[in-house]
Amino acid sequence: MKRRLMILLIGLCGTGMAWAQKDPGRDTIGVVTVTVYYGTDGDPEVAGPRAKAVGDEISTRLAREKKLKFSRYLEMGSEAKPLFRSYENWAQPLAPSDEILLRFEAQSKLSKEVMRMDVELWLSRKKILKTDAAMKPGQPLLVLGPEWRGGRLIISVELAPGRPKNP
Amino acid sequence: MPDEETLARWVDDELDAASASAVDAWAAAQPEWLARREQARRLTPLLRAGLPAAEEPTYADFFNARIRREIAREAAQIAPADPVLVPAAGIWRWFLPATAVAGMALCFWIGMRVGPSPVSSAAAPVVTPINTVPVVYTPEKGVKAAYYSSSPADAMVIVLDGVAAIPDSFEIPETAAVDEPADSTAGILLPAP
Repeated sequence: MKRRLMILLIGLCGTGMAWAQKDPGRDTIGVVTVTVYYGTDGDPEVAGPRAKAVGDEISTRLAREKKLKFSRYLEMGSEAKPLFRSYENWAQPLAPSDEILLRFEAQSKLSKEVMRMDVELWLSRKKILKTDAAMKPGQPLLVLGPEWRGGRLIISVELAPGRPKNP
Repeated sequence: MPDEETLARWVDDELDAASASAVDAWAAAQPEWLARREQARRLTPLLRAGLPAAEEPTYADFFNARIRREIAREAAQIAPADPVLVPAAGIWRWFLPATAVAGMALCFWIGMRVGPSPVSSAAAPVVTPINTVPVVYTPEKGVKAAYYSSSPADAMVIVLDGVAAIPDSFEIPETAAVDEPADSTAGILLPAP
């Protein structure tokens, strides 16, 4: 009897502590997907065998903007990370390399679906760009970035509602 | 005993002569306060020598631009102030509500006779347009960024100019390009409606 009571008390204590330690600032309020594309007018083979072909939808979208227009696009890497209510988070789309990193943080909610976010782009461990884009699902932020092997890297940052399955 | 603000100013030697002498008289019997002032007198010149008189905040341009935008946004949201109603005195205090009720009844009756009343534009909520143009800032020397809203691509576009190229020797890591299985960590669970 005493043993059962002890187990119950320990269980209640654990539950209470877990509840007390729950931090609402860590609530996931969206998912930020960072994808690095390689755009080139030359030979796409120079990107190497690990670069993946992109779908027609992405190619068409990128090519529609004349500043991002290239004859071929390839995907170099991608990562989806949770957007926390009040904490920053980092995406490492070319993991484990830290050549391209993106720091992001929710700043304010402008409307039901528009979120102003602090976004920082880090290249080669240096902060290159800081902005406070008003992000909306379905409308990515596309950054025409550095040159690489005769082409340019395009960093896409997209906000989606929901949460990653395993943040 | 002097109040807290006076004591704080006395410790920092910021009181005028008359106030300082009054606190001095009180503090003569307060050794801990005398010690506190002595400590402040020793530390102040050290701090002044070690810290700059003024310092620019980090990323001043970026934050100033954001502050200007917030001020403009708040100014746009300020609605005209409601007229101030002066309370009536004496019999007029009762006459005014009665007149108002009678007026409303008359308006209702006229409205029923004439037809549907027009929608008052004053009741429409004020919609403040969202400023979606971001502030862009490039801390690295020689790097410039230009923002474009691209309607053909339905995207926000920032073009970086002057950024150092990624060395051609850089190889895409194997893990970055791995095709993830259907039940991967990158999948998204939509919240319940």
